[in-house]
Amino acid sequence: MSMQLVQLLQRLSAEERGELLRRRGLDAASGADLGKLASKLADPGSLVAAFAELDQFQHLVLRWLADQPGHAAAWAALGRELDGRVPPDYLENALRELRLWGLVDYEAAPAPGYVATYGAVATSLPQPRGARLRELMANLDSETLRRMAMGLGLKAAPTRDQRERQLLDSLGNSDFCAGLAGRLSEPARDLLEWVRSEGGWVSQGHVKSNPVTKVTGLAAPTIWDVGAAQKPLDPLTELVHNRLLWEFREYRWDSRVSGYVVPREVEQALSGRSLFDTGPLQPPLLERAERARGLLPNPVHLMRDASHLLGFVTTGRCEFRQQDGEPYQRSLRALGKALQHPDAGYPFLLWNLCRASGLLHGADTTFTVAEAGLADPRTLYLTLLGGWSRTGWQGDYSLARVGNPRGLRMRLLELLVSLPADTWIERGSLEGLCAFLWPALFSPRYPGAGQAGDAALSSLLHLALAEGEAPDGTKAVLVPRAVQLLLTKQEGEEGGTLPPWDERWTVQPDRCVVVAPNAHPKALLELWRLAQIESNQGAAVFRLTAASVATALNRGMSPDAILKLLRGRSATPLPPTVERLIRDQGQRFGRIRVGAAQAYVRTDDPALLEELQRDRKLHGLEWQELAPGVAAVVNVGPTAAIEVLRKAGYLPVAERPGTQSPDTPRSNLPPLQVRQLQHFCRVAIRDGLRLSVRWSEGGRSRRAVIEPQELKDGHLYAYWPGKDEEVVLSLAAITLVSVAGGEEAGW
Amino acid sequence: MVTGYHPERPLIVQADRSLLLEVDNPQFAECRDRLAAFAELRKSPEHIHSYAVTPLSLWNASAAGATVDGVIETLTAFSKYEVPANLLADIRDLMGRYGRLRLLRAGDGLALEADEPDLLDQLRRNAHV
Repeated sequence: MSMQLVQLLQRLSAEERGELLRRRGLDAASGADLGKLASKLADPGSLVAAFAELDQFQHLVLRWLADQPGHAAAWAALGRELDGRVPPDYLENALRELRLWGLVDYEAAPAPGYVATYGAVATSLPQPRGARLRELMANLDSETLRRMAMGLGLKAAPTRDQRERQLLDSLGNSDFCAGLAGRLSEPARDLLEWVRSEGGWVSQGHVKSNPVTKVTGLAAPTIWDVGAAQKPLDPLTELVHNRLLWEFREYRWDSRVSGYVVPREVEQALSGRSLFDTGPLQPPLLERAERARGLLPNPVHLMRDASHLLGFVTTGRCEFRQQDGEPYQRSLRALGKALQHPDAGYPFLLWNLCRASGLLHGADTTFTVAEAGLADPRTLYLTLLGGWSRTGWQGDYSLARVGNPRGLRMRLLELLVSLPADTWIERGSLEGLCAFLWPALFSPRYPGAGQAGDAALSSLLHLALAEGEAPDGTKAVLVPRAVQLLLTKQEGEEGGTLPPWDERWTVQPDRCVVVAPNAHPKALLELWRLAQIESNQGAAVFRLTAASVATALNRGMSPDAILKLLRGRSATPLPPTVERLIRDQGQRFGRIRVGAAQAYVRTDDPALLEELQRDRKLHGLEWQELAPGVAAVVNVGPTAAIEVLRKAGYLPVAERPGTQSPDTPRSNLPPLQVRQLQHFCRVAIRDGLRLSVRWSEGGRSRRAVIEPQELKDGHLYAYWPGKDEEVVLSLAAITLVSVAGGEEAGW
Repeated sequence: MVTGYHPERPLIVQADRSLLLEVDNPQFAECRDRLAAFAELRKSPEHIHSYAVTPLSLWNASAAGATVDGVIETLTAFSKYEVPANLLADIRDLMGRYGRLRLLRAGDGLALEADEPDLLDQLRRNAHV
């Protein structure tokens, strides 16, 4: 009775097939070739997107079918299993929907009525937490299955598949499991009840905390030894031996046991419950929260704060990480403090909203604002909500691969519109409704879901949902009617629920600038360029300070531009105090000028510097005169500048920073020559010889007869008899030396 | 939830209990006179005066005979925007405390009288009292 997807597609009418294509995000042309269409529909990503649309009851139907032989069952068998839990028309409607999603085919008739799904659905269907027998047995070989069957008192079937089926049927049978449980020792029975009370799964570490036994592991390797059944076993081993508890491994190939689990089939057999008893089959009712009180969201404040974030980022006050371009947490926390919002996560929410909505775009610390999103308050609010719907975990990665994905958050927004307005509802009942409507996305029973739904609801509290509490502590939520109107109002409809933008601000003589809560976002952006935010408790209050004006000037604004900006939106003439502050800062601006230079040239004689600047051979150097005799060379470094000067016939030397006398670095002379000169000077000092010396100074060559006194740190200290003065010569500057009256030694 | 916007009104009520009153508004004088009963003037530059609603200012208002409804009505009547719910709750709470403890003459001394015995127990346990 197994079904092929192609068969289902063939049985669909043209209209039904069109609906199927629309739901699965495929174009009409995809329906031409049924074989190819079946492949696309059976793609796991496409299936996951479809599963996200199903409610709890539909999931249970698919799971039940997935467990049936050939993934199909007689119509009557489904009826028996449901046993009147849902009305017939409700069942038929659910199956019709599943059919239009291309997941199930059925014929609602006693005989030969059937209901069936296909292998790809059974394989891809999201599974709630817990383990199924089929998965637990998947990696077990035939011999192990045989021993298991024998351990349970069964005559093992001949083939592996048959043995697997045998175990499935036995352990899924209430009477059989009851018999197994009845033969357990009391400690084993208590241990089993403890594991079941823990949700049917305990980790290896958690087993240690069980109140029944100190045993934390199995008495291996005797577990497969049938003879071991004769010996008294510890409770844990006894349960595993009787297959009421199974070892669980996080990864199939892992030899370590992660924990122990009661398989779902065993749990249902022991409890006598059907799969259809594991959750609500129809949408649960929303529970009103009596006398709940709480804070209502204020879209006006949200938009104001989003504008603050835009100003914070676009004026360069936010620091960004180099590796991923995301803002540093400390930056956003600083913004949160400035906004005086009690929720530490609020600025992070604002950042995510503005980025995800496209309101703020850019990269590498350079961001701009998409002004189309600021057209009017409703546009901005819906833009932010649209951004919210695209942030956060959407329920499954596969949804991103499917065209037009409706993630978890978009569904939540759609639900808001249909909820009773201005009515406090127990948050738990709303979560229960979401878990029923979209269990794959919202139900905490499914891995990956639950937390995402909780995060989505919590983040919506700032945007569109009020949060409150009943007197008994029950958490409650409320959807304001105004939010529903904002979400559903058509263009051109009369009556808005948001105040229009206020384009003006008030500049006070104490240099405060007060802007209304519904200030135009551009007004706030402009103020972020000029002033510091001081208060944000409704109306925003900025303050113009010397520092804030300096910052604006440093960003390239002139004093006149600042004044023009302030006057442009001011409802009143600017106070003189404000004008004075701006003018004063404007006058101070630019009195210190800083330029970039690669080298400087200093001459003893300012006239020499002028000569250098006039020299045609040095026209390649860009001079920036700093002081008499000192000029910066802007375009080349010291070594290149020296080279150019030498080629032009001058004799420059490199100047070490901090010294007053020219001193050629020793590296300019070959080490051997320096040592030779040093030796020569030492000999002259020792023997009291006079030296005839030629050296370079200030670009000029000088010559004298000196009496060397001391050699120290690369300098020769000497007495110059001709001038009757002490002289200090750098060894590197000496170009010629000889004993006075003797043969010259030149360098 | 913001449903009412009255741009013609002169008052902005902030969530931190501060009040901003527009001087250039036709309703300024009337609003100022009514605010004086329960709010403290903090500063009065040219265009916007700043007031603060404090526990002391509300106590003084209660002592002068002001009622919770009267104070809330004043704020609501002159506010451009919806009055923050937390401020309304604070006003009810703070003004509701007025008169719950009374210091009366009893012979040569004083007697402290409370509406509820639990309040006296609380005071007895308070290290600062």
